[in-house]
Amino acid sequence: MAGSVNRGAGSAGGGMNIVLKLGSPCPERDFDAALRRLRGVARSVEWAAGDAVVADEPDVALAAAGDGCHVLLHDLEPDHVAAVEQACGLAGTTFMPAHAWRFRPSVREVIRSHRAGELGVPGLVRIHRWSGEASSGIRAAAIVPEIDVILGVFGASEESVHAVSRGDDFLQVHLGFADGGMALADFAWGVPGSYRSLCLIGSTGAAYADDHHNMNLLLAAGFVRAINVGQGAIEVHGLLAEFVEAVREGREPAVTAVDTRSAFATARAAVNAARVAGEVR
Amino acid sequence: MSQARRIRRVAALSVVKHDYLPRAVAAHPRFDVVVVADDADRPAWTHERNTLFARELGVPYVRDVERALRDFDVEAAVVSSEAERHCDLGIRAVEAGLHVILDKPMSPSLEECDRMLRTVRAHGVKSFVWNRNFLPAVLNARDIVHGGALGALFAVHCDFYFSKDAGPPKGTRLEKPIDWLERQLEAHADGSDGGVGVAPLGELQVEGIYPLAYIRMLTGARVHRVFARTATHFHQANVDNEVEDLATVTLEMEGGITGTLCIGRIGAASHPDIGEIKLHLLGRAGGLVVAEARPEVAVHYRGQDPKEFRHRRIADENDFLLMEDFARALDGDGCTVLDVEGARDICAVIDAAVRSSRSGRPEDVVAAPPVQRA
Repeated sequence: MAGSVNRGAGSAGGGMNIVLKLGSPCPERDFDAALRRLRGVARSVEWAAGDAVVADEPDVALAAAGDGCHVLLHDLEPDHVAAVEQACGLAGTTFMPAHAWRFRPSVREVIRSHRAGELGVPGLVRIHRWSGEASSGIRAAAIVPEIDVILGVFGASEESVHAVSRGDDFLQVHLGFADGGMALADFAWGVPGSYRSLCLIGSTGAAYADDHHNMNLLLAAGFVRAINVGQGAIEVHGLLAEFVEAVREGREPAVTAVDTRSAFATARAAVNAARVAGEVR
Repeated sequence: MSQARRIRRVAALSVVKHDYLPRAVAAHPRFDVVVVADDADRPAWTHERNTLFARELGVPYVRDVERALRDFDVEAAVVSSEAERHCDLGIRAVEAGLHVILDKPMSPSLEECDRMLRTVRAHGVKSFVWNRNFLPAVLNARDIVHGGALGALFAVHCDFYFSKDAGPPKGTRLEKPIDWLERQLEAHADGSDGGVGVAPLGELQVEGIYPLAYIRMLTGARVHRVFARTATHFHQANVDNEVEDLATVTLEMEGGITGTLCIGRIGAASHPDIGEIKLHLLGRAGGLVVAEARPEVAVHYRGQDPKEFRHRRIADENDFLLMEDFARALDGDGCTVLDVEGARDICAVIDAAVRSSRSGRPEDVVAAPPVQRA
């Protein structure tokens, strides 16, 4: 989407005012910090003074789009994404779904290495995502970020989906791609602690982005703990920077609604496959 | 010395693959390898390797398996032949009344595994199939799991990537297809000949027993259905012989446990050491991430050979502990950590995975033949 800019700020060198409309204080804090690191960008509290909006509610995003704002939508439900995409299209503003995981430093490095051709033809993507958060049911939208990265690596939709689940807190997804490509991703919720791992095996090399490799050791009274060094909120900065640059340059952002739809379709197929005990399509 | 603790005399049958297995037997104080034997009609390279090993141990090399088993007063046989001969040699040893140790894989053929299992049951001998279950990190994982820290397991994932090359990379143009056996014979020099034999073997068959034995030991659960994808992604030898060098398997197991396996011979460039080998375990009370290579020491120095591993495994007593386990079983204390029944079940999982990769559907794992009642 590279439409005209309604509220200025898209012009090179022009200042941009961004309104944060996020229900959760956690992402708002991260977006606020990220926003402060961007040159020529300011946070606006006043709706009328905003050029762009970061929102996690579709109604807010739709209103912003209707008011001529560029929108970064922190919500990957496909209906919401489609509606806001359409509204931005009518308004001629930029729309970007917030696939933040793509911008996590470790994931970004794996993708960079892949795109630079260092790893050759991708053969296998292996992902573990264990979350300390309680499950609110296995929903397709919950696994879209990882599926998005998998589809991005193979550059195509899957040709087979197999999945198994356990209650509401575990999902195992097994994808097949053309020319023998394959991916395994498991998702667990309610684990005491969080852990992520992404491994890409290519024909000439491999990349391993594994929290296990990035642990410090704490020896305290009565216990020893491994503590994840963490990657801060840099992923939010990367996400926001891409959004701002796309607006300024009047170009399509690196993440589009098409990406969300593709990832969601695969995620939904996986969730459905798990419901019928592993069906393959 | 009591009868139970006596030293056991062992025949080494067909030492043609890696010789780590008969070496482990010979190194253990409870076992003496007293003869090397093979069939007279084996090819010349077989006799050469057998002869070298026998000479090193200072024992005779006999080109007649039955005569060696009969004349050398042995109690056990260790088989490290080509995979397709493991069961044949093993069965002949068992029929001679011997306990038996087989190199991995037990066999590429599930029918052969069933035959081996029936023979072992019929003769009531002890059996053992080589594995890596006693590596320090795996034992640590076992202790944590069995100690209950994770609660009841519901997911077990294993990554088993060997960063070894296997001849020319995929896409290399050659005058003729690569002959599997010739390639394996060449590979003997650098120890990457795990698939030695006439029949080409995919990575699932060559190495799959290791991660599946971990999963079996940690969960104690059988696999009843699998879904698998396989590919020839790295090596021209695998392409020419139509056997996979990369595979992913989803395992549906007893007790509602889900398992997965990623396995591949991913090329030497893809890891600074032997390869990324990991376990990820989830239980009702927690999760565990295990690096199979630990503990290790990093060694770097000027002029270091690029092929030399920078991270070196230490405190690895796997070979000794496996033989200790076998000795304990022979002394009368139950079965081994991986007997032919367990290895046969693993072979059945691999068999189902290969079928699934061809059919594109989940496949049931074939159950072991029932125990015959007298």
